[in-house]
Amino acid sequence: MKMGPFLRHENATDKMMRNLFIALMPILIFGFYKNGILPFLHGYATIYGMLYPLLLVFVSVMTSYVSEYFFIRILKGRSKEETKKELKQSFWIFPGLFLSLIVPYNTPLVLMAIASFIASILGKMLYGGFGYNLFNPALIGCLFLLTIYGAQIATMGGYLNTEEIRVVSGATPLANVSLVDGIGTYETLVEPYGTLASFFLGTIPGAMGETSACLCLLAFFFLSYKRVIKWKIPTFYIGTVFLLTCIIGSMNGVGLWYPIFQVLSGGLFFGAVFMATDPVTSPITSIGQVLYAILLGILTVAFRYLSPLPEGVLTSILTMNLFVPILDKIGSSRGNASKKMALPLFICCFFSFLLIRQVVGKYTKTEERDSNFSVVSEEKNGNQTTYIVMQKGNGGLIQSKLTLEDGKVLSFQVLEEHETDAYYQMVMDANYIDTLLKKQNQIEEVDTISGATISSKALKKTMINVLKEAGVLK
Amino acid sequence: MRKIKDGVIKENPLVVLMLGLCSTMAISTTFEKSLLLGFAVFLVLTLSNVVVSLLKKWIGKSVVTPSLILIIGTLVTILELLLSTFVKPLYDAFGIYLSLIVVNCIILGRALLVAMKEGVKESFIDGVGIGLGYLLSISVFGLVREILGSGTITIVDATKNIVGQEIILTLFDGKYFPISIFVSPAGAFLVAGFLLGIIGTWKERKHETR
Repeated sequence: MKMGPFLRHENATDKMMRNLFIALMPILIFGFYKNGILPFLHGYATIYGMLYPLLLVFVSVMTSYVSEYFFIRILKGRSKEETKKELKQSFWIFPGLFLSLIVPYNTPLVLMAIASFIASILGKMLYGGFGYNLFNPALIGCLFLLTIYGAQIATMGGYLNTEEIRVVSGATPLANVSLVDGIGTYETLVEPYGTLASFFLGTIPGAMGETSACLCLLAFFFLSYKRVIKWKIPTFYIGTVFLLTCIIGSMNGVGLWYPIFQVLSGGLFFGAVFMATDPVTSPITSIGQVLYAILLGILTVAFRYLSPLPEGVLTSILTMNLFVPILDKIGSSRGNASKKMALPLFICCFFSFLLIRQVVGKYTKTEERDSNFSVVSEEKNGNQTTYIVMQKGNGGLIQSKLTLEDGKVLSFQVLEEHETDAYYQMVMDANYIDTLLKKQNQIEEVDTISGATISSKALKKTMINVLKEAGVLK
Repeated sequence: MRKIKDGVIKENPLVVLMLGLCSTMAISTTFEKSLLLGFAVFLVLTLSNVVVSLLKKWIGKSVVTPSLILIIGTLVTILELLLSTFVKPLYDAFGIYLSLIVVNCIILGRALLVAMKEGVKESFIDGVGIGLGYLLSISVFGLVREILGSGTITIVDATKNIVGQEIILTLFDGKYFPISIFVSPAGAFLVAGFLLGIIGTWKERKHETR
């Protein structure tokens, strides 16, 4: 593969770069305004804090240049003039630039440089430079940064800028999704950060370039009109995510705001418009692009709901980068469009179906209530809550009193039971209640007492159901 | 002598032949563990080469592989028993990878390729050469991984009860360095990739200047 079949001649390249910069400028300015100027104006940041987003961009871009210069000059052994010439055609600025727009605000400058170095060298130069890389370099750098230092950066504030960290209680909107009950409501998911309009404009916590879906949309229209990006990819990517979350949402009884919320958060717009459409790492054929985008949508939804790790967009794009050669092969095989797409589309629908079933199952499980369990009373006393509950046992209902504080069961007392004496004695002799209290965190794995299965199971279920009632277990 | 040098450089089992990578990547989280696994493989390899070479007349063509596994398995079991008796922490540290030496491609490969064909002396020298090559490369691997991943150099930890005390040199413990990913399996692949890349480039340069 030579210099990329998508580039025609020198002028086309310069024009493309210029248009890309024009599209990125508003996003960059907005990001600087939201994460730097606004907190400063509201008095939450120092001058350094205000300029910090720009510093991140500067460090990242400079490191890209230095890394590629170092690689070409020293590792490949070229002379000064040859290096300069090669750098001109190498689009060195983009890994660093894009990377700086997706890293958390609280990324230390040292780590920004390391991530940018990795992005340029590991993500691009080692593969052979521009046109030869398999993965999106900026995403490789970000992946390394978040995998190795993600937890550390999170303790320093993560994606929240200096104002958000005082004012907004909680994490970024998508991190919030896993913290709320069930599938969430408009009040729990959207309102803490504003209205849906805030999500669209981008005045929500997030990395510099990721939040403003509005500006990314404008950039999409501009760049598609100027034929700089492959417009099919963002269209089908975002469309698939919207459709899937729509179905999932409606099966859980939430309105249209839910898919809109999902589509406007998590940096989906930025990833779809700028990262998935990277000319080198995305498919060339039309059918390939559509399949790529649909699969990206399915993967992103799957990662968002089924995996505990953040950054669904990042991971899905990197994963699909691997499949681009296959997708292009499908796209360039002989036959008309519908024939080529039939089988892949069918497979996509099948995966979507499985995915929806899995996700919906995850949420409806919380509604299931043990019919053998009932709450007699629930009393709050300061930090502690005391439940008096009834659970069906061997010989009738077992009435127990459990006291919880901060999600932990402090005491478990059986008030009344009608179990067979012999069996119940076995359970008490084995200090079963102590075991249940001790192993609260892995309560599902606690064994029942063999020989007195029903009685011990009733006690175990009592604790599980009380924990569910208190919201500790789902 | 030249054969030994070949085993270390030209036919280095880890870097050139790329055999036995599985155990290498799993064990080499500390320098000490790598060193000791290197020794274990060196020992088993040399012994197995000698034994196989001695017995090659009696091994029928159709039962070559099972017989080799039998021989190598016996040697490894003896090693396991010795280790579990005298150096139990080390035995625990190796875990399953000690038993996996039986199917280590290096030992089986050399037995098939060399010991079944050559005499005892040649097989012994081959075993020493390849074994030394493995020992050296896995030690370097483990050293790099440990320095980058935990900032220490462990010389005595699992063999405490023989030597008497721990010898762990802590090099640095900064905020961003050491990078813990290097002692995880993912890091093993990263380091392996880099080392192979460096060695490959070096070899290419050597060929160019010739």
